[in-house]
Amino acid sequence: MVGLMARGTPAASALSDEFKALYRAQFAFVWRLQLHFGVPEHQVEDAVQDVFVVVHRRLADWDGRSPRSWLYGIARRVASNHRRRSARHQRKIEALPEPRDPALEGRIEDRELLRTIEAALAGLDPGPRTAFVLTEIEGMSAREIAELVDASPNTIASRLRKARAHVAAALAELDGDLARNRRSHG
Amino acid sequence: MAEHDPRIEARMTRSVELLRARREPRMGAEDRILAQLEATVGGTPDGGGSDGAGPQGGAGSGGAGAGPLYAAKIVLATATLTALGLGALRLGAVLLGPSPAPSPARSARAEAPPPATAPALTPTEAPVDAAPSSQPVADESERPPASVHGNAKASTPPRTAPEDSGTSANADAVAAELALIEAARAAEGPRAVIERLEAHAREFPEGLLADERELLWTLADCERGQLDAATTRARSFIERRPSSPLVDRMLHACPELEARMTKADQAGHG
Repeated sequence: MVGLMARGTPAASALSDEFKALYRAQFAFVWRLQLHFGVPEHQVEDAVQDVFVVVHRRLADWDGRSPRSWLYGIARRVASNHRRRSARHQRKIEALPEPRDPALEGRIEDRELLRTIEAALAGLDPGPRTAFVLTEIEGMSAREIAELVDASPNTIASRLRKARAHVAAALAELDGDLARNRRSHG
Repeated sequence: MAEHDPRIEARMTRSVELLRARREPRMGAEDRILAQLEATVGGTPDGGGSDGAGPQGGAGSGGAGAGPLYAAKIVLATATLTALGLGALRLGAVLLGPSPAPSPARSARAEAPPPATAPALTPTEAPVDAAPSSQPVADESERPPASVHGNAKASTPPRTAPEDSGTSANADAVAAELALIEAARAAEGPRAVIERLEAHAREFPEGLLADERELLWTLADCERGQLDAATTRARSFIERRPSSPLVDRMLHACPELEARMTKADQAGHG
C-alpha cells in the first residue's frame, strides 16, 4: 500500500531527492522558458508539469551536467506540443497579454514599456529573440547560450546585437505614444 | 543608434525588468505542480497505479437511474486521481513532511555548477560551461533547493496551498486536503460528495487539489442530473485548465455534459 509507505524511505518515492532538488532549482527557469517558447500563459502550469514528467522519466539518463541545457531541450519540445494542442482552443492568447500585476496596470508608462518590449520580441526571428531573452532575462553568457542552441558565441553575440537594436528602436518609437498617452490622461 | 541613447538605455533596462517580473512563476505554482507530480508520477511501481483502483465505493456508484456503465465511468474517471493520484499524494504528504536533508551527493547534482570540462554531448545536451553569470538574474542553480520566490506576494485565504514544502505544516495541509477529497470520493451519493467538496472548497479554495475537487463536483452534479451546474463548472474548469488531462476524464465520464459542450461549441462556430 502506497499510503502505508514509511516516513524516511524517500528512495521508495518516484520523486527522488535528486528530482526534487532539480525541480526546486530550475522550476522558475522552466516556467519562463515555456512563456518564451510561446505557451499561452494560462497553460504554462500544465506545460511545466509536462516538462517535469519527462524529466522524471528520463532522470536516470541525465549525465548530471548542465541542467539548463538538458531542460532547455525538453522544455522546447514540450512547448511545441503544447502550442500545437492549444491552437484550436486558443489563438488569440498568442497576442500580447495584459499585465496581471495590478500595481503595474496602474502605471501607464510601465504598461507601455512592457507591451512594447513584448511586441518587439514577438517581431524578432527566433534566434535573436532567444539570444535576447536568455541574456537579459536568464542572465546567461553568450558562450552558455551558444552551447545551449548549438551555435557559435559569435553568432549569439551578433543575434543579441540585432535583438537589442530592434528592441531599442521600438522603445525609441514609444516616445510619441507616451507623450500622447500623457496628454490624454493629463 | 537608439540603443546608445541613455534615455533609451534606461527604458530598455526598465522594460527588461518588467518582462522579467512578468515571466516569474505564478504564486504557489511551484508547490502546486510538485504536488501534482507526486500525484501523477509519484505512484510506486509496485502499487501506485493499481493499489485501491478497484471500482468499489467510488463517487456516485449506484446512482439512481445512472446505470452501471455510467457509474463505472465515473469511478474510472476519478480512479486515476484518487487511487493512483491521491494515494501517491498521500505519500507526497509524508515526503513533504520534515524529511531528512536530501543526500548531498544526489542533490548536489542538480545544484552544482557544471564542470569546466565535459565530454561531447548531443546538441541539446551540450554542456554549459561554468562561466559566471554577470547579468541581473542569478543562475537558478544557485538557489537553495527549498527556496520560495522572494517576490511572492502573500494573500492568505482561509487555508492556502503550502508555500514551503519543507515544513511539517505543508505535510499537514496536503494531508488535510487529501483527507477531504478522499472523503468526498468515498461518500455515498452525489449530495454527500458535494457536501464534502464544499468543505474542501471552504478550507482550501486554492488548494493543491482544487482541480480534483472540480472534477468530482462536476461529476456529482452530472450524476444528480444538474447538467446546467455541471456545464457551468466544466466550462469554468476548461477555461482555466484547457489542457488538463482531467478535462477528457470529466467529459468522458459524463456523456451528457460532453454532448452539451460539443453542441455549444458547434453553435459557437456555426
